[in-house]
Amino acid sequence: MKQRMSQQKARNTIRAQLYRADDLFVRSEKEAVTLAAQCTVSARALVMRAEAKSDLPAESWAGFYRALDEADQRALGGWRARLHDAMRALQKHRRAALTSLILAVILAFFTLVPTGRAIAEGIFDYVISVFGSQLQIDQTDEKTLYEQRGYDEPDVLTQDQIAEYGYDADGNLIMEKEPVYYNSVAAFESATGLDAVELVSDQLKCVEVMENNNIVTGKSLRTNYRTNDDLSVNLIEKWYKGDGQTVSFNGEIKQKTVLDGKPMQYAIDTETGAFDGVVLLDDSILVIYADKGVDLDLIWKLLS
Amino acid sequence: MQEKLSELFITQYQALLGVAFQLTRSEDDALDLMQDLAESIARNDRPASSIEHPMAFFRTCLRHARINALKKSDREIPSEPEVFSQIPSGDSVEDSAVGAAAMAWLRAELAAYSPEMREAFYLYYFDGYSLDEVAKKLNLNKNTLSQRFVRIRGKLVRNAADQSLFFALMVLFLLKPR
Repeated sequence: MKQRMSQQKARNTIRAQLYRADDLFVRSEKEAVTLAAQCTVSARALVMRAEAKSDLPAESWAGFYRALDEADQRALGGWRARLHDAMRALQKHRRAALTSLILAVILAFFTLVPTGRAIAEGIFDYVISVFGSQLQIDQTDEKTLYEQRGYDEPDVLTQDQIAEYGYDADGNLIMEKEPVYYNSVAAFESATGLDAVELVSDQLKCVEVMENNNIVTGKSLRTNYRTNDDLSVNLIEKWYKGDGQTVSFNGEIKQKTVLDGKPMQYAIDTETGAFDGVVLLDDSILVIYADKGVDLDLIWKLLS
Repeated sequence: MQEKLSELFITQYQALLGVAFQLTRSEDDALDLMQDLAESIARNDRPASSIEHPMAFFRTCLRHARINALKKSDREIPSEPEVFSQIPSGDSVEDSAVGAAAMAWLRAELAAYSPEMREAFYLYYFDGYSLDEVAKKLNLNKNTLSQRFVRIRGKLVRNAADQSLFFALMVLFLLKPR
């Protein structure tokens, strides 16, 4: 291809100055073009001269005169000549024109005609469902791979989970439900059937019981107590569904046995002086935060 | 509805007249060639698509008509071609780059060609047929033609290089594959 193009350039260069190499040619291409542009003899005059010199019948020249008339029409901007040109272009590129027409008709059918629109929607839904299934399959495969390699299994959302949480107005999957507030821990237990840890003391007042539901981590209960000094004690109990949870402390970690022999890790925050403890229960994780100044003996007593 | 040769002749009138001027010394001679071509078309005005390269075909007709005219005109008096004041003088950069020396070499090269190979040269370099078409028309080996034409191109580049590095670069630029 490259060689061919190179030859093409050479050909143009040689053609432009053939008069230097061959006596048959008397002037350069450039000069000849200029002379042609300056020539006052029109195409019509030339054809008429040729016809006058020729012994051919008039019909033989009809094609020339028709072409000359069309050229004149075209020069004057005549619609016939334009139509003729358009028809000729259409005929020349009929394959492309036919393909474009078919595509336009198909597009119009699927967008403008109600039946076509319904079919298009059906196809779209099918593609979406297949794509969704593919995602599910991919997640399952990934889970198998994790099992083989001994990693923690990735969380895979089930159809039940998705159905329970649903989608918002923008079509996005709802990850966390609106919090649910209860008057007491007992009310929460009654509503959910779960057994939650409660701090019962005349030195603490339960001011808020809030249930949270996350599509990945599951249900949790946040209970806020106030001491007589208006200090805060927060209990967060998580009925956790997801992968392992990382717990960190900002202070020296200590351990104490609470709730019938369960080891609690806790620390006093070196910056705020707040109490921060966590204990793993039978089916939940309990986290306790208490403001600096809260009587820790009371906490230990209530958790004993 | 198909475009006929007569219609192509009319739409390409200026370009064809330019070709005629390349072959003739005067305007009258150029117009005579064009009239001969028009008559040839009128004798058999067929769809342009029936010919592979209509414009190359027209150039060949004009060239052959000129050769025939020269053969008939034994009494022709050699004369300088007409000069028109409006024509810009001087060679273009491209012309200068190729150089008169290279074209003189080409003249000698052409003189050594057989009539058949000379016709092949015209068909390819002047009329505009492809190498394949020329080989088919003249029943020649395509490789032979290709080697001859590659040699011409190589000589032009070398000649320009002999003149100056600038011209060599210019020719390489002009002839480089795009």
